[in-house]
Amino acid sequence: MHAFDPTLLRGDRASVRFEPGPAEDKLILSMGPQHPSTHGVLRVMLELDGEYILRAEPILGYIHRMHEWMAEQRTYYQFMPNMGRVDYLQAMAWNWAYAGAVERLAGIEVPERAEYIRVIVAELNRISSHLVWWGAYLLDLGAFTPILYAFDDREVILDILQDVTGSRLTYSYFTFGGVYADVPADFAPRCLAFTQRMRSRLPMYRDLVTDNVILRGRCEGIGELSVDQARRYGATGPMLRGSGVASDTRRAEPYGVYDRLDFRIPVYPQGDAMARYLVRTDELETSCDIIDQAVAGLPDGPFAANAEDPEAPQGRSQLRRRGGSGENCRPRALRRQPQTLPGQAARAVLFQPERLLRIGQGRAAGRCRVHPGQP
Amino acid sequence: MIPAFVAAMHPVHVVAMDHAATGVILSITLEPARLPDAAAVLDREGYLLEDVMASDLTEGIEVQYHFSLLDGPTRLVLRLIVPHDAPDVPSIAAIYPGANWHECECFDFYGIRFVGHPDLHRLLLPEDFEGHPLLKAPEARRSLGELMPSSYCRACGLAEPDTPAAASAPAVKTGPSDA
Amino acid sequence: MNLELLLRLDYPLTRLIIGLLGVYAFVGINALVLVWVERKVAGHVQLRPGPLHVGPHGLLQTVLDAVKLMGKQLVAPAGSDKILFWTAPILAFTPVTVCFLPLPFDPHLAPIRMNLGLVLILAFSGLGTLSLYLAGWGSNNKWGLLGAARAVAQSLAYEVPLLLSVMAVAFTAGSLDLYEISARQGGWPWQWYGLKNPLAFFIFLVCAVAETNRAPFDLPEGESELTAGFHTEYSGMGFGLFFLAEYANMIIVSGVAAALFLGGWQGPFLPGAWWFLVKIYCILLFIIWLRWTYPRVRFDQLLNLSWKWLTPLALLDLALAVVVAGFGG
Repeated sequence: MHAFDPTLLRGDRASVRFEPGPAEDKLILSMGPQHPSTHGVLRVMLELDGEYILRAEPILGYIHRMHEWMAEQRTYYQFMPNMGRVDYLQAMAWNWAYAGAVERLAGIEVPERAEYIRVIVAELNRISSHLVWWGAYLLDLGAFTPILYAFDDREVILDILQDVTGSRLTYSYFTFGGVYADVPADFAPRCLAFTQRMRSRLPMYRDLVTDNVILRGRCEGIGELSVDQARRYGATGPMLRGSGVASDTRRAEPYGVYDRLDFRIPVYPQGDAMARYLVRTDELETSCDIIDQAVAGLPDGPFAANAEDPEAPQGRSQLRRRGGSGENCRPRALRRQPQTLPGQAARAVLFQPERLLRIGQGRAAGRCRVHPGQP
Repeated sequence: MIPAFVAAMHPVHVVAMDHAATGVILSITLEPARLPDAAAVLDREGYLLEDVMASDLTEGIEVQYHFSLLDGPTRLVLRLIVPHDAPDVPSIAAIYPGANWHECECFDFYGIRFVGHPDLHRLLLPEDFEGHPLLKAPEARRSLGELMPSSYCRACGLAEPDTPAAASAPAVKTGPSDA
Repeated sequence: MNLELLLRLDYPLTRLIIGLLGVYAFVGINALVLVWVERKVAGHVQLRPGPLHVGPHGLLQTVLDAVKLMGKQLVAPAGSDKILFWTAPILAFTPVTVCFLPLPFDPHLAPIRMNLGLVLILAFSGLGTLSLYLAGWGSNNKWGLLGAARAVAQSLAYEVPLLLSVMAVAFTAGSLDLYEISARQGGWPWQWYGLKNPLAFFIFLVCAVAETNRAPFDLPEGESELTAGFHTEYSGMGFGLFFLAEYANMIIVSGVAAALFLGGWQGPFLPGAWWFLVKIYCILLFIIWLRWTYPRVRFDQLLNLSWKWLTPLALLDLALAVVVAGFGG
């Protein structure tokens, strides 16, 4: 039997910083990871005066799984499924970022068919991710119905991608030099049927939801982010485009075949929550345009270069890939590990976002909390 | 094609990089003490702070700052190296507020102390976690010469390792250096 | 007291007892039906069938849910005020029975004919708010507390335009007795006060939705904001009573709306009580439809709506009604 440790009641660092001050009529609330609107990953310590929020401090880490360290224990190919889990809603984007970085450094040429397939599945994934965002956004605002319509549309995408990749959510479809398998014969007609369906639904969503007076009242003028703030905080994607900056990685640093496709970049200048909402809902339509063009231009050919486990090349590389939430997928570089280490195959060291990964034998130098004695 | 403002940072090395292979157009190595001024220069030029990350090398812990303009392939990286036993780096959180959390994360994973940071704490790992997981055992560290492309090593005067793998490497396209 | 008196149907106490029994039966069955209707409507609005398997088309779902709720353990959180905690659900449900008594289902089926029926209903529905507050405070839970505070502010704000709109109709009809007000209308829509005074009808509907804490005004319950608001800590029959009380309150305000604005029991072809039920269910369907269509209003917007818009409009409407009534309307 363990003795009860009274320091447990003291609370953690965040609660200690939020002790009630001299004026005791403020309510300290931990909008913790268990809350319907935080979706299990965010905790915010709040100091409330009635309904007004005086102080808010977010606490992160509830979904942190240390992919960087995991990558140090795996080979290139073994790590690809991890990339599907980093942002499980848009696994294709992260797959692409990782595969793209490896290909750039190793100089692996991706066949054209594979590039087109990548674009199509990535944009389908983007639509499904945005539909989840849209449904959950409105659910958090108190509208219970749009999420079911969004998931109804999303089921079509998930069925298409399941027939292509075998998974519904966390795809490991990309490989170094292309994609893992070719698309089935009915892929192109199904994609076109889907974009047609999506386009026919968007006017209804616009009329019933986007133009809803209550939604407008709750989103307009809220959470304003100026361009300067966005720049200094490092905002990208819809956060930046909602503040009036026409910056889209697909246009600025084109990867794949985006430079051959014609699509509009939605930009709204107001910088409030409604602007970002409109950017994302417009991106649904933009993605439909891209899919239509890519399906029309899908060439025949191999779906992957026959690349083995790549020779670890020198240097560092990064591929900035537009993820659905803007900018969180930048697996960066490969490093070379000399082959003189006995008993090891040539492996590469990978820079994961912000981290150096060492893929190889041997454990990380840090200690794992679960096994404190391990070197 | 090195922009004029780079000279104001008093860099140690400035190397043009191949964007198609590496994603950056410019790599700037600095003394750690020069970092806040360099960040201020980039702030004036309108650069966006993308990321602060670190790597554990034999020379020390290398901290990298990625900046880019709001549009276009304009990414540059600031590098600085601090010794393992004194990993102190000046914080740029006052200039770029977005660096606040990036620096917390570097502290969390590498133990780098950012001097002048308003509230350095473990961002992602539990607050009672012991150790810094992404640090490497000394025998597992590599040096910049082993890891960077030949062109970079030549430009910075880094000693390249004389490994059989380096000699027998296939013709891998790493950038303009090999051309 | 002479026991034979009790057997005479015109003896007030007898009427009261029969009325109460009828009310409990009505509330019980209606709640079962209404919950099923809500879940089915919600389902079909959301592209899904709703309850389907329990009984034909899920008709027995609510019955079994009620049995399940009754079978659950009654748990109160540590540190909660037990008296307040357990009083709250009972207090939520009890005024409901009183509020049903003046509703004129039919000229012969009004349990009690009171000349102050309207006032009785408005007064006792205020007790429901008190129960929300006791629940939130007694739960020893900050989310409950926020829900309770919101409930009080919201109810207070929306009582005022509700009263004003109802008074406008009372002036037009010249009575506070729901029976009288229904009787003065006719069976056809152009004879209803709803069309003669549409502003009052609109204000009443909005306030009714807000008083019963239904979306888009369900902030005290605010599922995505406050977990479950004032009834976060309740499970089992405690929650069941709140749930039942919410649906019963919906029926009451719909009944008042039908009596005041839609002509009550009057209508062609069908006997009166059926029309009353039809009108109640039309309004209920409208309220259910609102819930599944609109997002939630923010709290300050909610109070703004009431104090800055509905109250002045209701005052204006009352003034107009008084003028019209005074000059021989």
